[in-house]
Amino acid sequence: MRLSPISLSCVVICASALPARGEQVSATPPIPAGVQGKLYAMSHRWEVGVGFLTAVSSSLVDQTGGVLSITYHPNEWSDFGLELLANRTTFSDLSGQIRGSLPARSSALTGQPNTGDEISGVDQLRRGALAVARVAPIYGKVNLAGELAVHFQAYLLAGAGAASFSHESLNLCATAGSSACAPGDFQTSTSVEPVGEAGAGMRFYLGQRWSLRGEIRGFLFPATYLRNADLTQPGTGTPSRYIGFTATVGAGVSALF
Amino acid sequence: MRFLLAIALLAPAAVAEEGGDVQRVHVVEKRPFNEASRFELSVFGLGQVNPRFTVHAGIGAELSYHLRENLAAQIGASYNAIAHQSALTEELAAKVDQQPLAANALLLQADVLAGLELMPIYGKISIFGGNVLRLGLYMNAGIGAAKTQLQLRPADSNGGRTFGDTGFRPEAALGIGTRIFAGDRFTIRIELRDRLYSAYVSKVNGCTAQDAQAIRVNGTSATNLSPGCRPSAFGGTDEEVKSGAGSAAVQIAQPSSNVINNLALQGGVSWLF
Repeated sequence: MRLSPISLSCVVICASALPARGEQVSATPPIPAGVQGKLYAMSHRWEVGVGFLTAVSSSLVDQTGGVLSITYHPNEWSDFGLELLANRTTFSDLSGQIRGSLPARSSALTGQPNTGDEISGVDQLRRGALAVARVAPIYGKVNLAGELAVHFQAYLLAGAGAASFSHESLNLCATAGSSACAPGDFQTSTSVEPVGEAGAGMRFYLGQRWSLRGEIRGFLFPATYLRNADLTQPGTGTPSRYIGFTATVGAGVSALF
Repeated sequence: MRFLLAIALLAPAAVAEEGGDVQRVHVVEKRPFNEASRFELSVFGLGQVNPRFTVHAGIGAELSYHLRENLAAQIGASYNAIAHQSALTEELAAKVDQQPLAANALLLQADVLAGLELMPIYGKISIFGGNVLRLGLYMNAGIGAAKTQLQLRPADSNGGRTFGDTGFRPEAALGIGTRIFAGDRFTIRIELRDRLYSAYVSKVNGCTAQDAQAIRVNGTSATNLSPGCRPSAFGGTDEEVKSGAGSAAVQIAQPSSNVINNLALQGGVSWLF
């Protein structure tokens, strides 16, 4: 059989495509351009997370609690879902010091009632439910000691929902009179208010299912304090509204399904 | 002929199937650039993140020399254009006539630091699966001096906030941060830095509590003041001088001391050259 030049060229080209067996073992792999794709895929998976939060911005209220979240990842870069919050709240040591030196409720000279403004920033976020969404634009890895590579994802989050608040006045008494307020005898109220949150966090992958998360969040909510209140008469004063803010740091663990 | 062509075309696929075992390869990639023996000039914006009694925000600059790939010596300075008592501090003064000890509310006006930086961890990040950037995680430590001041009058007072000079204090700093390389010359830096400075407060504008009390009564004409006491530094008018000195007299009546942690988040850019 004689091969035409064209046929012969075709055979040579096709045969040259055959990788040599020796080459397969000794071939130098191409140098990757960077992060070699995401090691841990997130698309179309559900994530359940639990974590702890503690307030860092409120000097008057100590707030520690937990958060449970269930979210769905429609793609690699985002997820959305629901979060439930529960906090244990108390007044801080600083609040105790302030209460220990409150000004007199009436003038020592004339006996006339003193007026004053309520101290703001004392609203205590107890329970909450929020719809939350995360956007995770950054995926990366760092190499720790040896060859231990830690893959991580950085994300921003935002949410909105409702929460129950407890408001205990730091300086306005619940009982009429001019004597100093007794412990536990301060004006209190509870309410359910809309709440929004914004934050940022990092996810460190422990494997295909588990990851550790660290977050900072800021909660925003409507709050009020009383102005020009008669210190001897509960229920006096004019409410003044402002936007309350609580910043938290937290850490937790999550599982992907 | 056709048979020969078919064998030639199918052969590569058959070989690929035969060698289909997954092989794990370790690739050691040479870094495209090196910081060793290079200078780095950084500019920062910074803001205090633990504002209980004070609020600080300002700018900073830092010059580093990278002795090795992961070790640098650095000097830096920062200036807090915003340095005053927090809203809580002013609220307590206005509503319940209370204020923190002077040492707890000492303000950091500016500082200079010299120290070392260690960057032991390297990594990479990709943004939305696209651009790949290199990053380094570092920690640093330094010592230096802090220029401090004390707020004398609140924002809602006539004439606004006024401050008294409380001099220089020794300072130490610890930081942890990340450097994201956007190229071989340009980097983005984000850092959390804790500045610790001693806050023993016994004089304001060089005046003791007794001096301040005398100035509160007699204004700039007060006599028998301590050497170095500057009554005119308390304000522009005699009324402001008396008011400011009165506040100082109250705040330093009981000298107080503390070590203040001023925790600041600072972000900026730097150039390597």
